[in-house]
Amino acid sequence: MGEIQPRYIIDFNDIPSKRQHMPELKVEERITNFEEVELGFSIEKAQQEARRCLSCRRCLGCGLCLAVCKPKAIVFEQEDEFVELSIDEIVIAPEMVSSSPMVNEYINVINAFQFESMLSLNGPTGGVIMRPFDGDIPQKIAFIINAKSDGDNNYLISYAVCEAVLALQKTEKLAVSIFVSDKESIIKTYEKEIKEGLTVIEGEIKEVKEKEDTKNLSVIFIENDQSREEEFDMIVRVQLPKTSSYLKALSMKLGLNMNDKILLDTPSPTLTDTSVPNIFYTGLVL
Amino acid sequence: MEGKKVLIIGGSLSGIQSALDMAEDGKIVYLVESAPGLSGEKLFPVDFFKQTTPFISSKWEQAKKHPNIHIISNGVIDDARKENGSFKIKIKKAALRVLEDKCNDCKECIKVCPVNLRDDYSNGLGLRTAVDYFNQETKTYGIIKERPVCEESCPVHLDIRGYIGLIADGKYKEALNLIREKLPFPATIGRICPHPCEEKCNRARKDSALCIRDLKRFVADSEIEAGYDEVLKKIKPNGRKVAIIGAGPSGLACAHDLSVLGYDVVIFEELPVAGGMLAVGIPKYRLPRDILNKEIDIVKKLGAQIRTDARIGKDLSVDDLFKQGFEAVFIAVGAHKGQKLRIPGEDATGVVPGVNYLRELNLGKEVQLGKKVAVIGGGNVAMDSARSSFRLGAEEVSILYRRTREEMPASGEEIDAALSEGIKFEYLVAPLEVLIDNGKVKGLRCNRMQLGEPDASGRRRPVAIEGSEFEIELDMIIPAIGQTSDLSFLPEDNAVETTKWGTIVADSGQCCTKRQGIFAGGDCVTGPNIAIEAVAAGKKAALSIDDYLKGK
Repeated sequence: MGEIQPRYIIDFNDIPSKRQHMPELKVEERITNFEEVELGFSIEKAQQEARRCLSCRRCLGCGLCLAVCKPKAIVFEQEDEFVELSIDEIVIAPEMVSSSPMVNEYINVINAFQFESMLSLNGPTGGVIMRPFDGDIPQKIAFIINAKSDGDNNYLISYAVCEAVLALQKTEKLAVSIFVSDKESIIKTYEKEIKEGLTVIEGEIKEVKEKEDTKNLSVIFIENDQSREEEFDMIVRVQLPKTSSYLKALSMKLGLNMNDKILLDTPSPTLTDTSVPNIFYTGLVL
Repeated sequence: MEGKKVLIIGGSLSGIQSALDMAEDGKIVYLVESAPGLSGEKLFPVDFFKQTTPFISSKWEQAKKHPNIHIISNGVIDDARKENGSFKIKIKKAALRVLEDKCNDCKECIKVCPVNLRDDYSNGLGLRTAVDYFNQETKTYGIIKERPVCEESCPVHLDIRGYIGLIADGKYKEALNLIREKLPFPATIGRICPHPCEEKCNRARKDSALCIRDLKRFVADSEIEAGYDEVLKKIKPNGRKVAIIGAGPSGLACAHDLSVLGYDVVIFEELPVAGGMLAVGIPKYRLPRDILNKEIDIVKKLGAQIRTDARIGKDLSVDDLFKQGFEAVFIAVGAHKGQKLRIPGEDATGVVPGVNYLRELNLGKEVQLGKKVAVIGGGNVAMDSARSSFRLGAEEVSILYRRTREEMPASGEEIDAALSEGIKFEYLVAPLEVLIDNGKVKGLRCNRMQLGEPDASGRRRPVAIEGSEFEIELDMIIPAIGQTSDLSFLPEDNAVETTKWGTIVADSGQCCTKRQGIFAGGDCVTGPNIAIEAVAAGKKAALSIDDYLKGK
């Protein structure tokens, strides 16, 4: 039997995955002379490496869409427009991207941003919660919150509870567990939302393992000083997003340094000063 | 009085809220959002527990209808600068290529599009086509035509996915031709480029980036001498003369492109060899000279003349060039002057600036050699100097750097290679004084440093730790803390403007200087930079010289 391939979300598993390394002169053979150190790829290695390219594609200019568009709405030649403005004040609003890699640790572990897309009617699954691996409707989902501080924790918990409640509304026979570090406060805050189907577990996650056959996930955690293990169909990792590189680069141009800053999308009536006059942040500044 | 103008960057819920608040205060608000619509498909945890439409905020409609709010979707800030107390902002509004008023929402375009790409609007979950339907809220379609990230980050915008695809298919000659359309020196750049493209490679999100540079080298090595006959046949000489000062990567690239366009090009090179830093900066173990020379020969084959040992400003001035019938001059003299440490004792025998050291070595001259060598600095010149002196027989070579490895400007591969060869690295150390015995170096007094607040470059500024002074015994010191240009040859009328950092003021897009007919590019404009940037500048200069001379 061949290797099982995920059906719904391509994971590029068919592409050779190891980065090739060019052979080099051995250290002892090179430090007494000026011979070239790197020796170049062999044909085999070059081919292997070239096949790793994901060919991150954009429009190829094939014109197929142009041919099928009856109302002739497609204008291929349209160019970007530029607008120039003279501005007195600048407000930088959060533009966040997920801080986890786009490709996940296991196929059925996704991040909260991706889960959000799944919940949306216009998302890739049309609003249906499904496991990336086989498209099955999950019956047991775990939310794992990775927070560094209490402030982050509150924000992430509200995000997780919100997503969990929506998922429960959409999916029959679903059970959701949220792993948190402090059970009391979340139960108090979300008294109304926490009802049937939603469990809060105060536990420290030790490990997440993938079952080879079902691609289910096994979570090993410490609860009340005891090690426990529980199996889930799908896991959603909830962690603080990071500021997009676009905002970081832009802030540099404006004389700001946003490298250590995270702006969270929580509207507030006041703006936060930056180190540059007439430039402000909005949202929750961490 | 007209209200204050406010720019809000980002159409997130906080951005929309601020826009509404400020618009209510009578300010004119421009809300710029990079996605096709406000807030995309975002959940609103704050509002969620109060209302039941999780993906639609009532604030959207309010913002759209407010007379003081101008929404610019599909927009990114292209340029921003401060001027007379206000900000000059240039916004790029991406073309959608689908006319909203004609589109009938049939989605046929999406069905036929052959492209699959990771769906960035769904945070990488699933795939979408190059024709995109953003969401219900905006009801707009768009065709994404941007370059892939690797191509975008390459200074000469090589069609990387194109040539890698050709290599995968075994079509090496086609791959090389595709590279040469934009880069005349693939074997050279394929060896020494710090590959900004690989930093951006999407494959790194799965495991590790592609070896883009090494593949370029592979294909260049396989066919290095082939492929220029067709180009040669097509050249139609136009009899117009252009002078280039400096035969480094920038000058050579400019000469290459101008020759192809039919110009009669002469490069004036001060040194006895062509290649600039490629020939006298980069050691042979990174770039064998036969490889470099073969690629320089291609430029000669296309018709450009390279006059070595010809320093402009000595017997021949820039103005003389115009008198001799050259109609345009491209200045690409690079940055070959080592920066001073500015500490006592640095004029002692045994202190040799890194660039001078490498130049003499690469020109085959006899170089001074110490037994215990310290290289000061963290860039590639420092790595090259250290690795070279070790090869020449120094017993102990260390690199002193005032920050940590993380902030080192040298490429990670160079640092790793130096480490594996046995070079010692001393981080967080700054030199205070060269210790001298009889006019010769005998050691270095240093301070230990710690990292403080970030400076303008975003790197954390090193601060001396009080009372941490210490001495190292040495017999040779190689400062490699940066290079500047020797611009003493410039015409005295100051018509070519320079900056306080000793670089030439030239338009980065067109390489024009303040004086008509004189163009400049490469390290003498940017300060020390990577070779492929210099090549990019040379190519831009060739295009603008062509434009200039055609219009004359």
